[in-house]
Amino acid sequence: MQFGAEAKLQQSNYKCCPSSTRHDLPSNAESGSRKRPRETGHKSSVQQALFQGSSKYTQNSELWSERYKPNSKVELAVHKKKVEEISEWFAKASAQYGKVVSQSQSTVFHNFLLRANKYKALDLTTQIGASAGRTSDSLLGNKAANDKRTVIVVEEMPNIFYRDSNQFHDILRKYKRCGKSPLVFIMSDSNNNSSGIQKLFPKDLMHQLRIDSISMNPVAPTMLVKLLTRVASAESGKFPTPSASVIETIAVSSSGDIRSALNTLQFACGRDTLDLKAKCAPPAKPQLKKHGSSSSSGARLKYGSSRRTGSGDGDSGDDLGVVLGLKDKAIFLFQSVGKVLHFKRGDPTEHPRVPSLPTHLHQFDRDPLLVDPEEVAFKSQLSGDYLTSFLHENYVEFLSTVEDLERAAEYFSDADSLSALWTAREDLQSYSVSVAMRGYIHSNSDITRHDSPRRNLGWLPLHKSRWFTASKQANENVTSARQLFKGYHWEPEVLCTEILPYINLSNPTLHDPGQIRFVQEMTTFSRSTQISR
Amino acid sequence: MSLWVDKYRPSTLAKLDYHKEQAAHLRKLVEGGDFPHLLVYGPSGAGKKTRIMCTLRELYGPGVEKLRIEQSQFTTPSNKKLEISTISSNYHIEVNPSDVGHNDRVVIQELIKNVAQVNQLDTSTQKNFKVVVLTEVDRLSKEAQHALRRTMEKYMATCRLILCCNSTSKVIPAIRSRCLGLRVSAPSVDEICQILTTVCKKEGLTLPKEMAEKVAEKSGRNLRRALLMCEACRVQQYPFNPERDVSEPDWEIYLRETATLIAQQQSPKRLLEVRGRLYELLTHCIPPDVIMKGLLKELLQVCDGQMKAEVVQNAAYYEHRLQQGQKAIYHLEAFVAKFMAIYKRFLEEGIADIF
Amino acid sequence: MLGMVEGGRRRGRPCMRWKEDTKTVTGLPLSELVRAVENRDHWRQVITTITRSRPRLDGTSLVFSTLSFRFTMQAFLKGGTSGLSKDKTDAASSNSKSQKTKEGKAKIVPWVEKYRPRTVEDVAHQDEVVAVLKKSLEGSDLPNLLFYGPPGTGKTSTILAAARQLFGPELYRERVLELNASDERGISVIREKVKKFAQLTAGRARPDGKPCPPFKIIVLDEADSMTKDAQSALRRTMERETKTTRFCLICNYVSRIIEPITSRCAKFRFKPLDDEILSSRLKAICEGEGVDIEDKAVSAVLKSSEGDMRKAIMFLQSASRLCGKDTTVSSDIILDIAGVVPDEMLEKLIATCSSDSYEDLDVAIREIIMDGFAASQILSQLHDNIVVNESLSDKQKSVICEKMAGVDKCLMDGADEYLQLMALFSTVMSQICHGN
Repeated sequence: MQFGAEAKLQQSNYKCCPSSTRHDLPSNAESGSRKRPRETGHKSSVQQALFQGSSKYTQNSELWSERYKPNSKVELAVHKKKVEEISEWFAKASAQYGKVVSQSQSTVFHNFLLRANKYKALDLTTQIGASAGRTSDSLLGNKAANDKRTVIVVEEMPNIFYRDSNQFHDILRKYKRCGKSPLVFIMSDSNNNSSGIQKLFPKDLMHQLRIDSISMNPVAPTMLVKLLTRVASAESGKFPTPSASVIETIAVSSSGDIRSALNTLQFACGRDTLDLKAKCAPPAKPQLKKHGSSSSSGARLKYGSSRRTGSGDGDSGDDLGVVLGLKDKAIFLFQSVGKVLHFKRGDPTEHPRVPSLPTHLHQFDRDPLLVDPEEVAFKSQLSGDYLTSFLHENYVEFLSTVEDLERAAEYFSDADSLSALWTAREDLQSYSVSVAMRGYIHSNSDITRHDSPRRNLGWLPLHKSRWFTASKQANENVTSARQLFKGYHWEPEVLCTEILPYINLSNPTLHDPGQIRFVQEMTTFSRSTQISR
Repeated sequence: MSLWVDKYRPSTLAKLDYHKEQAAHLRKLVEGGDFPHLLVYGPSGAGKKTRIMCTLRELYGPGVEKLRIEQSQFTTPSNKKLEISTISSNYHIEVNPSDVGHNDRVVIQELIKNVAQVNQLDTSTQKNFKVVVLTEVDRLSKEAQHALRRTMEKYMATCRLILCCNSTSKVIPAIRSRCLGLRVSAPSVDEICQILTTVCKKEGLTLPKEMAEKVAEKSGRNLRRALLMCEACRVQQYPFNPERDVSEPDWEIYLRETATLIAQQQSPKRLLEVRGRLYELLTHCIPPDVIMKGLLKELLQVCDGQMKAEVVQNAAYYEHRLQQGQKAIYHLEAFVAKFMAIYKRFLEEGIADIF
Repeated sequence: MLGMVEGGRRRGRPCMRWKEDTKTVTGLPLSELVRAVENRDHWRQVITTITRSRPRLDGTSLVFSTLSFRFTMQAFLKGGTSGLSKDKTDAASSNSKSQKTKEGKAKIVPWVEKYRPRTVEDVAHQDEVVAVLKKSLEGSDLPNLLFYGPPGTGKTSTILAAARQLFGPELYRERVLELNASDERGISVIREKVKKFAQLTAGRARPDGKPCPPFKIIVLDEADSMTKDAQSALRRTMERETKTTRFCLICNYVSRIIEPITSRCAKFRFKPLDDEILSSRLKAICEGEGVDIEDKAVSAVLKSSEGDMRKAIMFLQSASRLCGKDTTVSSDIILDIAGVVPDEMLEKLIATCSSDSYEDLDVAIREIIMDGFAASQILSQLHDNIVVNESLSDKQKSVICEKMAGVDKCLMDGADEYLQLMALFSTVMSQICHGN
C-alpha cells in the first residue's frame, strides 16, 4: 500500500497521522462542511513533515492556520494541563486500542477498520519529541516495530450513525476485540447536536469499552492573543502589524477557535486599505452575510452617525469586527448586546414630536432613546431567544438598584412567557425580544435623561449566555442518570433529588464504576463564592 | 445496591404497615374477579408503587416478582426511532411514558396494543388479562392522555391498566371516569416512626425514639425519604445520636446557603452570585420547581406575616410561568429579584418606623 | 346453517366436532352457553372477548360465530326473550352469568352498559326529546338531531334506544353507524367511511315485515372533539344525503360545533338529572345486583355525581367491588372513591383562614396535600362553599372568586399545587381578615 492508498485515505478524510491530542467529543458531523469549528488545531511533527515533504507550498497561498501548526508541545495554545492529560493518555494507549470510524457507510467503515489495522504505519512520536526531518517514507510501509505505536484518528461521523447508533456500537465492539491501534475520535461540540453525542457514545458503552473522554474547552482569549501576536510578528515582514486592540478583538470574538482566528488575522492583514478604524470611513463591504432585506439600512452595516442608531458607543472594537469579517454570529451578537446595554438618550428638545406622559405616570418618563432596539434585533440576524439570553446574562451589572433589578428581571420573565407557546412562537419572537430590550432600558433608572451622569463602569466584558450550556448539561445528566440506574425505575425527579444524594451519604456498595463516578459528580457543588463565568 | 427502601419493602398486601383498610379493599377487589382499571394517586413517598406491586402479587402470585429489564423500540409516524426501557414480568409490564418526552403518545398506543394482543390465556392464574403499569401519568401530554383513553376502551378485555401519579389535577376527566381512583395518603409521623423502628430492629440496630421522631418530622411524611435518611444516619454515626442533626442532601444545604445569601444582602452583585448558584443547581439535575419551592421555604423564615403572603403570591406567579416558559433561570431570577426588593422595602420600613 | 351441508367433506380435514371445539374455545360447557345466549348483550360480549383474544381468524372462530347463530335460533325457538325489555328476571339471570364461572372466562358487564335504557320511554327525565322521538317512532320523519348537555344525562342511550326500536335488532347493524371520539374521525374518515355508509340505500320494510323508516342513522358521539375541518366536511355530506341518512350529533358544548351544522339540526338540551330520578334508578340497580347500601351512601353518591348518571353508577359499582359481597356500602367509601374532600376538613381549612396566621394556614394546606386530595377538587369544593357563605360580603366573594379563576387556570397549566393553594388561601385569608 503505498502512496496511492495514502492519498486515497487522505482524500477520504481520514487523517492517519499520529496526533498529539485525543478527543472523544462527539462531533457535528456535517460531512464535507468546511465550517465545522474545530476546537483545537494542533498537529504533530509528522504531519508537518508530511506537508513539507509531499507538497511544495507557496508562501502566498498557504493559510496561516496550516503554516503555523504547532510543532511541539511547547507551541500548543492549549492549556498546559490538557496537554499533560493527553500525553498521559498516550502512555497508556500503547497497550490499548481505540476505534476508527469509517466514513460513509458502516461497511466502508468496517473495511476501513480492517485496512487501517493492517498498516501499523503511523508513528507516535510525541514522546520522543519533534523531529522535523521525518520524511513521508517513514510513514508508509508496514512497520512491525514494537516501540512505534500507532494511532488512528477519526474526525467525521457519517450521519447514519446518528440515526441508528447500534451499528456503530457493534462495530466498536468488534474492533475492540481485534483491533491493534488506539483510536482517537475528534468530535466537535455544538449546541444543536447534544443528543447526537450521547447517542454515539453513551456512558455505559464508554465504560464497557473503556473509552476515555477528554473534553477540550475553547481556547482562552489570552492564549489566543499570544498566539496571534506571535504569528503576526512572524509575518510582519510582508504585512503591517495590526494594532493590539485589533488582535484583542479578534481573539475575543473568535470564541476560542484558533483556526478561525488565524484566518481572520490573515484576512485582516491582507487588506489593502488598512484603515481599521472604521468609525469615520464608510466601511467597504466585508464578507458578511447580506441581510437580503429591503430595508435601506440592511446591506450596509454603517454604525456611523448618520442614523440615530447609537453611535459613539465607545467600543470601536465593534466596528472593527464588522470590517474584519469575524465570525458573523459573534460580532452581531456582541455588537447588538453592547448597543442595548450602553444605550444613550437624546435631548428632548431635538425630538419635539415625542409625546409626553400624563402627570400621574411621571416616574416612567424618559428622554427619547437614541438606539432603536428593534433595529438592533433585526440587524443582528439572530433568533430573538438567543439575543435575549445574551442580554440577560449581562444586564445585571449595568443596573445599580434593587428596584431596577426587580423591574428588569420581570421583563425578562415576560419575554420568556411570550415565547412559551410553540404554536405562536414565530410571531411572538420579535415581541419577546423587544420586551426584553426595552424592559431593561426602561428599568435602568440611572439613565433616564440625556444628560444623566453615567457611572464609570470601566470596560465591562460581555459574557456568553450560560443558559444553553447549563440546560444542555442538565439534560445530559438526567439522561445519564436514567441510563445508569436503569433497573430501578425511579422517576427522574426522585432519582436526582433523593436517591442520588442519599447514596452519597450512605455509601452502599455500587458495582458499576460509572454509577460511582456519576453520584460523586452530582453531589459535589462548587463552594466558591466568586462569580465563575 | 440494596438500600433499606428496597430491602424492606412489603411484598404482599398483608404485610403493609399502614392504610390497612385500603389493603383489605384491594384484596376484595382482586377476589371479586372484576378487576377494573386503577388510578393510584397520592404524594411522593406515600407507598403507591409498593401497593401496586402488592396488588399484582395478589393477582398473579409470586411469579410477578421475577422482573426483567427490556428495551423496547417504537417508531413514530415521522419515522423516528424511540427506545424506552421497561420492567416486566410474565404478567405485567411497567413503563414510564414521559421518558420519551413529546412522543409519549406513540409509546402508549403501541405498547398497550402489543401487550393486549399477545395474550396467552394462562390457565394457572385464572386471569385472562395482563396488567400495564404506567407511572408519572400526570406528566403525560394531553394527546397522550386522549390516546390512552382510546386504548383503554379498546383493549379492556385483555389488558388492565394501573396508572400512577402524584395528583389527579393533571389527568383528564375522561381517564379519571374510566378508572377506579385509589388515594394513597402520606403516612402519619407516628406510622413512619414505627416503620423506622421495625426496620432498624430487623437490621439489628436500636433506634432511640427521639431519633425516630426527628427523622420522621424532617422527612415531611415521605416514607422513602425517611428510610433513606435513617440509613444515612446509621452510616454517619452509630450508635445513633439524637443530638446530632439529621444529614441532608448536599443540594438542600447548598440551596439553604443560597437563600441566606439572598437575605443577607440585596444588590445586583449579590444577584449575580445567586444566579451562578442557581445554574449550579440546575446542572445538578435539580428541577427548577423544586429549587423554587426550596428557596421559598428558606426565605419565608426571615419574613413576617404580612410579607409572607406577598412573597408566596409571587412564588406561585413565577413558578407558574416557569412551568409554561422555556428558560427557568429567567423566572427563578425574577423571583429572587422580587424578593430582594420586597425584603429591602420591609427592612427600610422597619427602620423608618423606629425613627 | 339450518339445512344440510351440501357436498362432501374435503379430504384430510378432520371432521369438525362442534361440541369439542366450542368447549376448548370458550371454556364453558354447552349448557352454560345455551343459557348465556338468552341474554343477547351478554352473549355478544362473550363472543367479542373470545374472537378478540384470538389473533388469527382461524377455523374455530368461524365455527364459533356460526355456532352462535345456531344457538340464537335455538334459544329463539325455545321462546327466550331477546333481552330488549328491562326484565327483572332477565337482570337476575344475567347477573348470575356475570359471576365468575369455574374458569373465569365470561366477560363481566359494566353496570353502565347493563342498565342502559333500552327503550325511549325508559330514558329518564328528558321529556321533549322523548316526545319528538316517539312521534318519529310512530311514523313521522326524523330530523337531523343535535343532543347536547352535561355528561351522563342519557344522550347516547336515547338515540341508540330509538334506533333499536325503529329498526329492530336485525337491521340495526345495517342502518346505524356509530362513530365515537375513540375512533378516528379526521377529515379522511368523514369523507370515506361516513360518505360510503350514507350512500347505501335503505329499504322500507324490515325482514319481519314491519315497516321501518327508509333512512339510515349516523351517530357521532362526542362531536365537539372533531376538528373544524372535519365538521365542515361533515356538513357537506349532511346536505347531500338528507334523503337517505339522518345524523345525530352528541356533544357537551354546543358552542364547539360549527354554525352551519347546528342550523341544520334540531337541537335538544339534555338537562342534568335531578336527585330523585338518580336515587330511584340507583336503588333499582342495587336491588338488581344485590348490593346493600345505606341511605347516607346514596346521598353521597348523588352529591358527588352532580347529576351525572354514568358517574353515579360507576361509583356504585366501584364501591361494591371494593366492599365485596357481604359488606354494606358506606358513605365513606363513596367519598373516598370520588376523591371528595370531607366537609369537616374543608371547613377547618376555611376556619384557619380566619386566624390570620400564615403558619397555621401552611400547616393546614400541607396536611390536605399530604392526604392526596387533588387541588382542583379542593378548588371546586371551596367555590361551592364560598359562594353561599353568609359571612362574606359580595365584594369579598368577588375578589376570592377572581383569584380562584386564576388559580384554576394555573393548575391546568401544570403549576405546583402547594404554591397555588397557598396563594389562593392567602387571598381568602386577607379578604376574611382585612377585606371589609
